[in-house]
Amino acid sequence: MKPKILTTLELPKNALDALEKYFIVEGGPELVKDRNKLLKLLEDKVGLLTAPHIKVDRELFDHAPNLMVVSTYSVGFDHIDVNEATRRGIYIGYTPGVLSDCVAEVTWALILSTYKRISEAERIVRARKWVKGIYKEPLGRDLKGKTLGIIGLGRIGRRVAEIGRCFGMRIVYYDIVKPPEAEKLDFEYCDLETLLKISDVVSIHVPLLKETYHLIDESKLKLMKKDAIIVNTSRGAVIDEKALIRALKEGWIMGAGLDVFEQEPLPLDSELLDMENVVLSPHRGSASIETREAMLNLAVNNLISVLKGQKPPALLNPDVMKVRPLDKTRVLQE
Amino acid sequence: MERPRIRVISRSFGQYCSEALEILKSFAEVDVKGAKSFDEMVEAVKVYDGIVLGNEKLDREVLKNVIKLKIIARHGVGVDNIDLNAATEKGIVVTYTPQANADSVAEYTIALILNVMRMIPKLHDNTVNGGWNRILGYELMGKTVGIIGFGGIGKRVARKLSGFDVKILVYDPYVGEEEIRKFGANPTTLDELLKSSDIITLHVILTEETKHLINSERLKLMKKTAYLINTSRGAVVDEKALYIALKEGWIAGAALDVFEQEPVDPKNPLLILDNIIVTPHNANFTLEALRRTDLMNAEDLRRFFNGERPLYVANPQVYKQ
Repeated sequence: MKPKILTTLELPKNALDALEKYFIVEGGPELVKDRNKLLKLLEDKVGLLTAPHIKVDRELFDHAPNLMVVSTYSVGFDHIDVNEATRRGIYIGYTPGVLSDCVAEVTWALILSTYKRISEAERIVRARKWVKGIYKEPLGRDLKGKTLGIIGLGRIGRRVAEIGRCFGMRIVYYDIVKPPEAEKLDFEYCDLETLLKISDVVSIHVPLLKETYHLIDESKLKLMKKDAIIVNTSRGAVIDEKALIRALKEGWIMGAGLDVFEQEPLPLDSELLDMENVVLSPHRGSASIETREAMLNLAVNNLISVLKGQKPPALLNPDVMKVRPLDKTRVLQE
Repeated sequence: MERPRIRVISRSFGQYCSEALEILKSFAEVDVKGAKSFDEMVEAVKVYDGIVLGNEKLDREVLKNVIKLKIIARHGVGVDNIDLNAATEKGIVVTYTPQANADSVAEYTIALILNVMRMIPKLHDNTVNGGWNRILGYELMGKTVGIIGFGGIGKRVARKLSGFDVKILVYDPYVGEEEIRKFGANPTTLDELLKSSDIITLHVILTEETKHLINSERLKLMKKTAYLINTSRGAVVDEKALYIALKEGWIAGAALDVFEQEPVDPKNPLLILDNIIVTPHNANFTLEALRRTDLMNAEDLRRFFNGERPLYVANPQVYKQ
């Protein structure tokens, strides 16, 4: 009999076909809202294909004695207790790389939309408020010659920086570790405080960790220029949203472009919704057709590889191989 | 020597750049005062040595009355509101501010490309109205961008796009192939560009030749998945044809900063479409562009009254007389 896997995603036909060649596939998106059922179904599963909508924690592992691989359809992994997974010999696959370009583009869409004030201008026309001459207000700004501050120079941050270079911007970055190749790329390293003080556009590209929770708080926002903008396509909780709302209301900064929020969906009473100087988008950094396909392919490959006893293309916790070597994860024949 | 008198008619000059006004005041008596009627314009050209002009009309009739006027500094990139021949005959130097907003327009164009491919304004509205609808967008990476018109702005669009891994096609019968290749772009014919591009952006000036350049026949050549961007002049696109194209799905979407009639007619059916972004002729207006324009005017006026030749002269023939 084929081994069983569980998914919490709604899978398109081609992905489902690829999996059903090897497995009995159970579950679906309804499990997101029914944790008890999810936990129950995990008992006889060797693999889990999921996304950040599920907390993959100790409780979940306790219910899944046969689980050898969790493959998340995301680049973020703050929903997974990675150390615990490693300790239990559970492989974690994720989908880095494939969405760098896509997120970099959404980041740039938000940078341009916020700094050029496109959404505001669009609303004026749609509301039939453009009644005379050329509409000067809201006055947009030019990026050329300005400073782009990148917080987190990983794959996505680097792509965002490279595009900024083509716009004639000076690029500065802050990262906990200084990537060795950054020198070659000619991006200037500086500490976070300096970056916030000198940048006209600040863009965040760090994962959400204990160290990055509320990395941008009131004191940091106060360092920024009054006519600077901040853009976040990483994780909402990297910014203290309450402090950001104050900063936008009281004019500490000019504007913000946000794809991610501390609570998602964004609560309907959030003050952000009524602000003119913010551009909002519903966590869709990776929501392009091309990227979704690539991510899903990678997530499916990660899962199949582990269960074939092969190293998956994108393994988050390589240490797991010491706990449970790959020859012990093979449940599928070639 | 007596200090020259300068009249600032343009309403934008100095509004965002007090420095420019300071420059003028350092060598001239400056009056900041608009001029709306014919009589006010006549008075201005009689009394002043120099004028900073917005888009007010300065034709032969007005210029007949010139007594002292020696220089007109046009606050803008176009001089079609000034009768240049009449000015030249009177020995008046006309300066303007070429390329002052070329980067602003090029940046705005790319902003519209990214925003329309992902429908950011619609997402914003959705989010504000309580929706959390993660509509799929298209990526720019790997796509083909067709640039029609390869002057100062078209070239800047190409350069700024180079970070996005796109293929760039250019149609401009007045620019040499080699010049186009220098920007990493491929020269091609108009038909070929229309057929092969995923995004088409217009950067031509409005002439008899370019009026309704994008008409129904050409819209039909475009890919069903393609987007049209216009930050040049409204009449380069036949709006009626574009409406049908967007409504019937000949193309995927459009982003327009300019319209055949401006301000856009509130009844214009384009405004109610979902697959379009509309902005109020805003691409060229940025704080930086206005400041650059102010400073180009002010510096040229200073040069002129210092006995030097201004840098941005729109009627160089005047120096041959």
